[in-house]
Amino acid sequence: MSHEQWSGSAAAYALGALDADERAAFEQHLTTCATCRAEADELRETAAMLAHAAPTREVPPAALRERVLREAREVRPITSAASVARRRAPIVPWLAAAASLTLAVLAWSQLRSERTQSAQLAAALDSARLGIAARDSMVAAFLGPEVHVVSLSPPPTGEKPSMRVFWNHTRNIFIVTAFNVPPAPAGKTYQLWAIRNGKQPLSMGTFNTDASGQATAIIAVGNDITQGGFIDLCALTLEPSGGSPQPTEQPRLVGSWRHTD
Amino acid sequence: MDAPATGPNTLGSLYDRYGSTAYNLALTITNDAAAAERIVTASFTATWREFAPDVSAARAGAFLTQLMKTVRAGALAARKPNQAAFSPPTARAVSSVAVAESLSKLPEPQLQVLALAYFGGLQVTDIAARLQWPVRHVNVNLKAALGALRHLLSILPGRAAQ
Repeated sequence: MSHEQWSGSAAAYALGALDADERAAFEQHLTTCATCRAEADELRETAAMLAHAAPTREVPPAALRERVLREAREVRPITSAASVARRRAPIVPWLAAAASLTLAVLAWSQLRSERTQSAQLAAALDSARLGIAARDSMVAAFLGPEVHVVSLSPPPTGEKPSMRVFWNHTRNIFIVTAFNVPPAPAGKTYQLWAIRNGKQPLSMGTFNTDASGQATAIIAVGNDITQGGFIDLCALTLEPSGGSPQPTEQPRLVGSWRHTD
Repeated sequence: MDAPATGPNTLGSLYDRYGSTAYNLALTITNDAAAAERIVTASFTATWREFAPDVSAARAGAFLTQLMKTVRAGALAARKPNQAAFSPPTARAVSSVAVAESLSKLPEPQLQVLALAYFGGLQVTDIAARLQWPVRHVNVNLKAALGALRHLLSILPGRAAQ
């Protein structure tokens, strides 16, 4: 497809009017075309102005202002409008984060009831706030059309270990979640690889799992990963501590990228 | 209510500036006041948490863009499946003078495709089917409309709500 043809879809992309396949193809083009990327950004800004074209049908209820301010102050997981609207939709991917936040809130509530431990309460509250802010930031990075996700699974003989890697390509970060992946032995580390067809794997970074086999990590990556075109595959290997320039074993887990929605 | 020229915005001041627009956008798309309230609350909360505490005057525009994107996405998702066919709002019944004036200068076909895409949440192929146009014609009109709107908003005084 020529550049002009891609450019012709920029407005539809900015308005969210491309179907999933077209959007994926366009976003793949954006990774290699700075001109279209800049054009899409500009058109997105303009599209946002269309909110002001909504007829003023009603003055918002006075109580809505207080409700907004109250909810923003409450300690609870971040919630997008779309997720509120689809409240009964499956939320399995968020359960881990939600459970963690709930535990933090419960711990905070329990401490508060023990008024004699005010200093401990203040420290725990600060800690919970920091933890929640970090979680909120992470969850916010999951939202939006700019996020791709890959699920890594073992060869057919295996079943248990699994990973999901979310790629927010506007923030240049990957968010890695691992389950049932045994902790790396001493002197070893897990390493993620970005693989483009016909090219050598690029290291995305290293991480390790805890004793329960779980990990949640945010990996910031360089331009060699994010600006070299669409990544076809993501793979996991076990490498010497510090990571390797190239994989030294066959991938333990591998998956291909797709959009989250 | 205008924000201070410098310094951070509070959530209250941002709501005072954008709350009505957000609510009416959600109401226009859902035609459901309760859903609109829920969407506005969740959208402000999510956007505030993404930006706070640094919602300086310089970032207010980015906050507005993200907020309206979230409101629109939530409202489109909340629409009832059997909701009546969407009627695009006319350029005469808009809440921002600058946007209204800009939209009034667009040719009718461009206005129509913009409204169907933005407020109706329709995809290009759906718009083409509804208007019985070639898909390429829809794309051309969408791009011309957004391009003209951007140009007009840049030269008109009192650019909307930034």
